Amino acid sequence: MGRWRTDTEDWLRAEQEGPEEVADAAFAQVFTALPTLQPSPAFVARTVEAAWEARARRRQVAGLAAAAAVLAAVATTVVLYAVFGARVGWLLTTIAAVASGSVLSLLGAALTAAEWWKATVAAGSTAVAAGSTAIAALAGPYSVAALAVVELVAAAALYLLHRLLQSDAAVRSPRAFCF
Amino acid sequence: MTPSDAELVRQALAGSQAAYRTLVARYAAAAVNMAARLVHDRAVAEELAQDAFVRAFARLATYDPDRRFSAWFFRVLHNVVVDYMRRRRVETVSLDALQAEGYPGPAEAASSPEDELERRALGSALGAALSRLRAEYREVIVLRYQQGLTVEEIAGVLKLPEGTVKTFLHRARKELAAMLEAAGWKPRDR
Repeated sequence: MGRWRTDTEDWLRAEQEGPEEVADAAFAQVFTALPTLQPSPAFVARTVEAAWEARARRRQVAGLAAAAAVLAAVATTVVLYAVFGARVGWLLTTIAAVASGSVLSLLGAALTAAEWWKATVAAGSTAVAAGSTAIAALAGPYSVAALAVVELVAAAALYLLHRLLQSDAAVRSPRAFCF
Repeated sequence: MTPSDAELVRQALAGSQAAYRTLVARYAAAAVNMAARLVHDRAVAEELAQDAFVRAFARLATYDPDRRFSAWFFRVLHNVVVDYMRRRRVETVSLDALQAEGYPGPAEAASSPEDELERRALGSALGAALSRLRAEYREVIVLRYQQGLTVEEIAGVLKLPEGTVKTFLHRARKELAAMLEAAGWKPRDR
């Protein structure tokens, strides 16, 4: 009787009679009889190459998404200014101030906003003013076209961000890295 | 001096391709074997192992160097294999069939022809029994006895309570024992 049969019989007895630890150790010995597989010689090089390619792709998508987001922000700002003009000037100034971190500009924008608010209230209801401004602006074909462009740019930015977040899912397809 | 896994991870995060290559080479066989035990297909096992290494690289920053790299990596591999198995129905085939297809077996230490014959017979019977186990049982067996993970580490990999892992291991071994006895490996009376 060879050592493998002896080991196996020891394990089977341990499973029936022995404590868990003995059965565990005996089975560990028997388990070494199982054939083990060796990966193909090119496996390591192929895998590392795939990992680096995936990283480059993630960075590319991140760059595109950032560019699209900036583009969308710029387009939105331009369209807002074109459609609403000076009425949102204070808002754009505020955004610019926050973005640049300038406290003085922020205070200036706050003062401008306060003045605009005072003027609007003096002219009548703020809601009515805003509503009529929006309706008047949206009624024009150029405004509609401009808003559609903004929405398209924003949708593209969102799609690219989605691609970025799902980049791991793209990597999941094992066939994607077969050479 | 051989660099530790944690050191290789640190270097790979800093952009060293050579460090990650060393890390992949260190765990390539373990990854392919574990995947092969679960999906029973050598080519798919290599692809899944590769996918796991790619995914692990993307998340390398989340690895805690105070823990074993193998336990962290096998969690990634487990997720990759589970994703694959959800996408496809995996047939149950003995690993011996893979070797019949020309897949190289292990480099064996020198032993007598009788011993080698007996090892092959036992390996074949054990492989067949293993492939008939429930996937959950098979995975804990492979993680414990092929990859050498502790019960605590297996619990971390599979996100199961330690008690459940112990129960799975116990029941899996009992089932394997019953199958091996039925295959003619019943212990003789002393």
